[in-house]
Amino acid sequence: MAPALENLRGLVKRPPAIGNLKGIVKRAPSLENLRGMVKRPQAFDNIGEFVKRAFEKGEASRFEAHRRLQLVLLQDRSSLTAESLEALKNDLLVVMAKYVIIERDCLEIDIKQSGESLLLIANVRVFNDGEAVENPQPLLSPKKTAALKNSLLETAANYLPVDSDSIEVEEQHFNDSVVLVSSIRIADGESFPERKERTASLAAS
Amino acid sequence: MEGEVYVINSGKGGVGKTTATANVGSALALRGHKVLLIDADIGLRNLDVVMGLENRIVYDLVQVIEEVCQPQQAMIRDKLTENLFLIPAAQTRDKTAVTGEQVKGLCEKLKPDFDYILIDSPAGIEQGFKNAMEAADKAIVVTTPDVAAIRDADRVIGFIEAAGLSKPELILNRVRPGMVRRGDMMTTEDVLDLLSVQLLGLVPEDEKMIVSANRGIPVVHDMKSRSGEAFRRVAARVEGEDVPMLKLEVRDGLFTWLKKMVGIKGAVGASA
Ligand SMILES: Nc1ncnc2c1ncn2[C@@H]1O[C@H](COP(=O)(O)OP(=O)(O)O)[C@@H](O)[C@H]1O
Ligand SMILES: [Mg+2]
Repeated sequence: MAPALENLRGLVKRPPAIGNLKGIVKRAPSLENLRGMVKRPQAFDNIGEFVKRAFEKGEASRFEAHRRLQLVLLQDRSSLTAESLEALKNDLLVVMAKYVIIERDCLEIDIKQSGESLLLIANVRVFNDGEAVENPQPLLSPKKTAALKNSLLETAANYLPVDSDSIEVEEQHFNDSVVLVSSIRIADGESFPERKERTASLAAS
Repeated sequence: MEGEVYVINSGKGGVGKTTATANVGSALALRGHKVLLIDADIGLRNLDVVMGLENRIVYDLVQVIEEVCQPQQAMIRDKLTENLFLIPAAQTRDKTAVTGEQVKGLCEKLKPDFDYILIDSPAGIEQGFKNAMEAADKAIVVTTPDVAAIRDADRVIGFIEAAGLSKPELILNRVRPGMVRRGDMMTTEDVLDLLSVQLLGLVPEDEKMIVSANRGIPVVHDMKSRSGEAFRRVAARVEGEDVPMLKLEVRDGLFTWLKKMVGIKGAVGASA
């Protein structure tokens, strides 16, 4: 059975996401930046510079912990390797790009336990010219939505044991953009640890 | 009305399960409830020393389960708080000595006599953890804001939800506001975002905790301690009261003062 949209909303805490998405993009410091922050034990011109450096370096450690954990938890929950996750993410992105114009680097995937089911959740920010609209129209026709659902399911099934009639796709309209929220239920009627073992062997084979 | 059975677990050891059980239990009893603590960490008995009750043990959990004695005979009355009781773990046995069914059976039998039953779970995701979880209606997960503890907490949350218990609530323990402020410790928001659970309490790192453990007096009895206040608020929330989270503040040190002087923006809030 598909999870009700109601549930989905509660679950997808992140997607009133615009803010968050932005945050994530901002948060992930590029390697360049990181390098700049961490080393260089040279003398500082003034105390202000010193304090600033120390502060920035500190900031990096908290963000780093958060970012690393995001990935590790995703791997733990799905028993997929980092590479498989990255590949899954890319494939989902490719599928979605056939239906909507998406903003670069803004696909977020997550795997969450919802009651007794495990859900694969993919949020993507759809490009929009920034015009605020009073009564937003749906981006995709019902027919297109159905086709997108099918493609997403097929893609996910290459990586995880998905439940074929459990996909939900919802458009969330905001002032300056639209977020496409998709959720797919993984496996069926199995408890978390057993399912994990199954997905683990699947990932290994 | 029947009592509620809570299990306190964490995945990783040493993050504060036993401390939380002792303190939330004491605080609930101080609020007038009848409370039973069960130490389910068989072979690694701990709750008795944290409560300062180690000299009063006659029977233990395994003996109750094996019907060597009545549950009431194994219950130790707390020395400080009325209406607070402890069934200690067996020290000489291992986790296979009891089954989840048996612990559940015991709790069902005792529920009518108590307002709250708190089970201190062993660390890990093995049999002992499963036994404790099976007996409970609700779960509290304790974690510290570090990568290893959070990773383990996530595993445990997965098990709890899959077992059909309601979504567990989180106690974030050993928070160091100064480090949060410097950006060297994840904020409460970071942790909640990762684990997607509700926050039940925010407990600061507190030296008084060690003093309290040395004396065998739970820190909630120290009205001046911050960690004690944090646990008293957890107890209020368990009862359903809507109390604000403890504000964890650092007094402005030289560092902060300097930072303000040079006008650096983007300070990470320490009220987390
Ligand atoms: N907020 C805190 N501040 C300082 N020390 C703490 C705090 N919480 C727990 N501790 C200490 O950490 C140690 C481990 O705590 P404990 O409750 O026994 O963990 P667990 O039961 O999860 O293994 C104990 O020595 C305890 O006193
Ligand atoms: Mg313990």
